[in-house]
Amino acid sequence: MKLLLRFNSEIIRKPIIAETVLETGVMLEIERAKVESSMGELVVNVPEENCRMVVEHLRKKMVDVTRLDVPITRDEVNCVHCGACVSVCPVGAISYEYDWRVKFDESECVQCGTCVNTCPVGVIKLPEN
Amino acid sequence: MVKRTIEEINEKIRDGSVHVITAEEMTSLVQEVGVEEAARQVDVVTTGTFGAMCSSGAFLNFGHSDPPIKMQKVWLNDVEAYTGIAAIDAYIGATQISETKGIEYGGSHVIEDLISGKEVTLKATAYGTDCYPRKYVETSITINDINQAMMVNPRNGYQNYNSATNGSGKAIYTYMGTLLPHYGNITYSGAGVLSPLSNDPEYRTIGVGTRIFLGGAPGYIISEGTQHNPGSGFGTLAVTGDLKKMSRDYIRAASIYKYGTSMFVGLGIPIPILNDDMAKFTAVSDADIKTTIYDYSVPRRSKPALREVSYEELKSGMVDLNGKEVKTSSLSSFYNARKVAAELKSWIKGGKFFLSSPAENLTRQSLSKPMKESQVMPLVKDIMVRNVATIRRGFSVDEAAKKIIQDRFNHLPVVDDGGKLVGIVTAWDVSKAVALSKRDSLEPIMTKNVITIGPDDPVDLAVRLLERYNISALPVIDGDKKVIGIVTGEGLSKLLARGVQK
Repeated sequence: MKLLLRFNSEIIRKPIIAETVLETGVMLEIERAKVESSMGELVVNVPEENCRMVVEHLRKKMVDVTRLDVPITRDEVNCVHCGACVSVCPVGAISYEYDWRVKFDESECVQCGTCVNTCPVGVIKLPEN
Repeated sequence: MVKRTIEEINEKIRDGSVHVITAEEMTSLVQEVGVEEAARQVDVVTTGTFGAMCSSGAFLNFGHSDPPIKMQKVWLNDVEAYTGIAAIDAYIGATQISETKGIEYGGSHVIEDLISGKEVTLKATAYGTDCYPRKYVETSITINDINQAMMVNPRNGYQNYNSATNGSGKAIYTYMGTLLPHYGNITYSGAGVLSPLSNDPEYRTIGVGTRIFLGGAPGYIISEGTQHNPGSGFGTLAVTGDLKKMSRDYIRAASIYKYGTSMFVGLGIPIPILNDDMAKFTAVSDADIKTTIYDYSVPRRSKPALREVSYEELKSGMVDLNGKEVKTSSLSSFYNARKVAAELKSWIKGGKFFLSSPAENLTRQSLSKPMKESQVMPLVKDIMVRNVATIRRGFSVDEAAKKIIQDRFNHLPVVDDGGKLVGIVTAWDVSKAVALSKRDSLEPIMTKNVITIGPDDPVDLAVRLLERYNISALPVIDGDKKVIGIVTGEGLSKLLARGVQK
């Protein structure tokens, strides 16, 4: 399960991820991180069975948690398969099929949204969080 | 030696015995059986491409209103179409953008909506004449309400096109798509092995009057395209076709992020195999078709060329750029280019499409010239302030404050011991540091990712950077990153007030 964690300016300097790992014993896999002086955003991958516990811990520490259970979506019928999204995907979730159709691997997607903007025909959408 | 004529091929199309294959299939066939045998077997090779072709649009005739109007300005769904033709004709260009929605919706979207049968709002204004008294009209129309809808694209089907990357530290948004910083990706456009003009590079069969596939309907080549540049392998085509017969499968509106609108156009050209030479030309492979990767972070006419690359490498998904494997992707759809070539093949096989001999050949001589500029463009070095105050890293905030007061600069570039730029502090940064009592060192308060400019860059670029990054000054650096001047928003305003002078 992927989780989007948002840290506000009050908690940004605290070692919350380290604490959560120590307290829950769950290995968090960080897939994407953006940390600025006033806010931070992380996408972490958590094993399904520990998800509820990790979310509870994080919420107690004032972290804003969003479950990213709906992956990025693409309207395949209207996709022109140009591939403008392929090389901008930071995690290789988008590639060409053998027949040059554009293929999405939803399990790899970290929902960074880069491909959404890049699509010239507007067929890629991020779920509303 | 095989020899056949267009008339013979058309006769075979008529009696159903014609042998047509796509350019991709031809490449494999020639590799298998050789040029001569392939020439004997194949009558026609079909090509196809499906790329963003900005230079596209359509002439529309709306019919007369009552009382009639001589349209001086006209909008379709708030996208302005060019008038200045006759009373009720207009040309809607693919890249014209909506006056209300901006680059999300443009002329290409109007064209796509028309093809889809959707209703489009037509608004027109006029000055009024004795014969055309009306000054305003507003109505809702579909493509069926229009008399003629002629797609006319002045520059399509580029024989070859540049490949793009970005050597700067920031992502840039171009007509070649999003280019990630530090050579983060490479984009290309063009169908490679299926590219029409690459399969007839000497324009022996493709010329004025050649019947083609355009947007899912039959169309014609009307002349060489604008910027036709055969000398460097950048031939282009001007084409036309009946919009009313086209299909959304082959014409799609595009909105390129932070750039503008464009239109995906499916274009295919049949190439008659008149002799062995034509079989040899159509055997071209992705490995044979080369292009150059340019650094699009330099917004000048001449961009730095990084390396030559073949379509085979580009299509492999990774290209080696200075020892780094860089991901590639296409802006034109190879999947749809194949569909175009296959569709055209089925038209010919099915006896629905006949080949035409060109009425005139395309020139192979002309070159595309850059714009003649009669006014000298001011450069950064002409207007920059040269005696720029700088400060060494490691100095304190107090010392920076002193320097700002002393030298009357609001911006203080921070340099290392070798005089190279490492950051910048502003009077604002210094005030903030004082207010927060963080006065020991400049390091935490300076901006490290400094936007800079070179002395030989045009002033227009300085203005663009100041605007885009919402900053008030740009240090001017030389090739060694040494600060040789500064351009400030304030300085530019002063220049504007007295007129830029050399």
